[in-house]
Amino acid sequence: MTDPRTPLLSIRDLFIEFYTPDGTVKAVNGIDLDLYKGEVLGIVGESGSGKSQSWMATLGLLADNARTSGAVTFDGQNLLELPTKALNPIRGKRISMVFQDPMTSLNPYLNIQTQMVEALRIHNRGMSKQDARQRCIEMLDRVAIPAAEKRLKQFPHELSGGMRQRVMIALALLNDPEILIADEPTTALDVTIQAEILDILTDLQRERGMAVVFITHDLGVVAELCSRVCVMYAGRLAEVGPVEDVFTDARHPYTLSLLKATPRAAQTAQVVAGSGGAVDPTGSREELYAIPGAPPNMRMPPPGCPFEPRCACANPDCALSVPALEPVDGTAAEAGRLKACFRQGTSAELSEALLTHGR
Amino acid sequence: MAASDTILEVENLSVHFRLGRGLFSGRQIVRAVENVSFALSRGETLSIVGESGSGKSTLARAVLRLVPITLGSVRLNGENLAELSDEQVRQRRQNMQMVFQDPIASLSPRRTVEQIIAEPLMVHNPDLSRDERAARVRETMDAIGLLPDMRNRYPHEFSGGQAQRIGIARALIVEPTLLVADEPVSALDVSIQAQVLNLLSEIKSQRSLSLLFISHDLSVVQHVSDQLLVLYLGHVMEVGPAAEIYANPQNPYTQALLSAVPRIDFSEQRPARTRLTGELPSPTMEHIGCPFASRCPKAQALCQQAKPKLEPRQGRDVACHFPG
Repeated sequence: MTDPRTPLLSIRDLFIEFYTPDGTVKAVNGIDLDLYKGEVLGIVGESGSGKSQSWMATLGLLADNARTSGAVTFDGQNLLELPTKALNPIRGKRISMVFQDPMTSLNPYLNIQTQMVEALRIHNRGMSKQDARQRCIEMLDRVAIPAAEKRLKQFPHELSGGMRQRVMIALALLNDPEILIADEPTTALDVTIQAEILDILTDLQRERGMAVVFITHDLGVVAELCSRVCVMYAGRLAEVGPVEDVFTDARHPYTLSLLKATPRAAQTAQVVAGSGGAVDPTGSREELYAIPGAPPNMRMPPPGCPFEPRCACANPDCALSVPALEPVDGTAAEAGRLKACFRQGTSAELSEALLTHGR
Repeated sequence: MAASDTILEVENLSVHFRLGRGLFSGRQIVRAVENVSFALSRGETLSIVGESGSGKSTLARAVLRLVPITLGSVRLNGENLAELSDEQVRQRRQNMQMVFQDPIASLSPRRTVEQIIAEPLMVHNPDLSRDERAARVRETMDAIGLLPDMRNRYPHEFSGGQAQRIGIARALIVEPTLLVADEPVSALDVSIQAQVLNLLSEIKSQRSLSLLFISHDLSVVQHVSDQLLVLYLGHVMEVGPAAEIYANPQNPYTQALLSAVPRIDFSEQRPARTRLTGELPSPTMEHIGCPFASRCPKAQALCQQAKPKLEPRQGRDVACHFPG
């Protein structure tokens, strides 16, 4: 890639397949991606796009029926080839992960203290229990858990969903990781709690300069939190670039379709100036763009561009071969804008095609 | 608010649940819905929003009398459901149908699509001949965008979006005047969600159907709603035209809720966030003051002492001692 900095972690040619009785599921089909120090990288995509699996692979957390190929390079080592013994000092210490459902990632039989102290001492042999406990209290304070000392003695079921997710974040950050992978960490939470947790994550990320990979289906969260975004579809990267550029000037028809399918709170509610608070009734009711059809069956992905069957901008050629991830036409290489689409054109031109596409 | 074409009128509705007696605690009462009033006109959509535990689903279920009504009245087409017998309510269910959150789980796995969609007809129009029934199913499937050859397939063969269409077809086949949709698109991906939302708005306008819509997604709610009702611990905090509440919320809770919504907005004028601290208090507590006082950034002594009444303000009703 063109970025002059050396990446903290780089993924090359990553493929992931799952062997099932009904055939092989080709979940991830060739990803190249770099993660840089201190950035917040958003990974968006719908269910089955491979957004979680590609990062689970990084930590060796895939199910037993998975087969991977390619390389995930971190600190000179290919994580995909490391035996568990060599991977253990890295995961939970240098690369941590937070999952969507804290109830299934915390052990229901152990209190918070036992779980946190274990995570700390496993990577820091010789740390005393007292010191470990002190460190846990500090960390719980840091994620705004009131009465941290009392919480240590509680069990996961005694905490609310928001509190549990804070405990998960505290756990993940105990060992001061260089990379935090957060997989839909706020999806199960109320917006008010989500907002608090996103604020805490942002603060911690800035203060520690760690890289965060934020996996989500919520474009709004990406817009608020991330500096760069990867849009995934059917196990491939569709578009990569700085969040604001991609969201305001999408160049891949899938990105654009997603944006137009998302109800947008911001573009509505225009208070008409000088009318004493009257509301512009033309605000919200434009029809959402409904992407026709459904994502492809990943047991038999189409031979061409995976989005072609649903794409408003497709040409006959799109069904024949898979477009490579290449710099977006007319953007400087330093802008870091990439897309995998044969169709060139501005966001406005693509929008036109969406409008005329079979309503 | 009672216009002539009012379909649903809810007045002073309360739903309380009794918890079993604990060893050391006395009998506790969960006040899931407290003194809620609103009205819904023909062809309108009213959305109920609030955090988990605010009572939004219970309120919707009470409207359908799927949970017992403790106090107050629910008038559907002028008739008070709270006073009817179970059998009478069952007959009225033809006019009020529901769509559920989990599209696959809410469909019987052992029945074909045709059987599922036809079932409400067997209950409410048992006199129809087999052919008439099949014709109604075909018509409804067509209107909802389901292909005729899907008739003999089973729910597990469908994606979430298609399954939700089946759920909607099942609700619409008896031509209800009121459709209650409890988080109908929460389990769906964005691209599929848009298909279902467009479908709902289309059938709503074609059939002048009234929709009671429950969602935690405030962007979706803004997209579909005419009226908005903000619920906190079973209490109405603010109710009125959705566009006006979104543009200019008056209750501090509504302000906090709306400002927490993540937005795709890169302009500089994005409003500052109102942050809430703490979490929802226990619903077993009886509130003397405002239920939101413990988390409200504007709370004063009065808020702890007296419950604010819903009062008209800027075109909607607000329950707050210090609105604006």
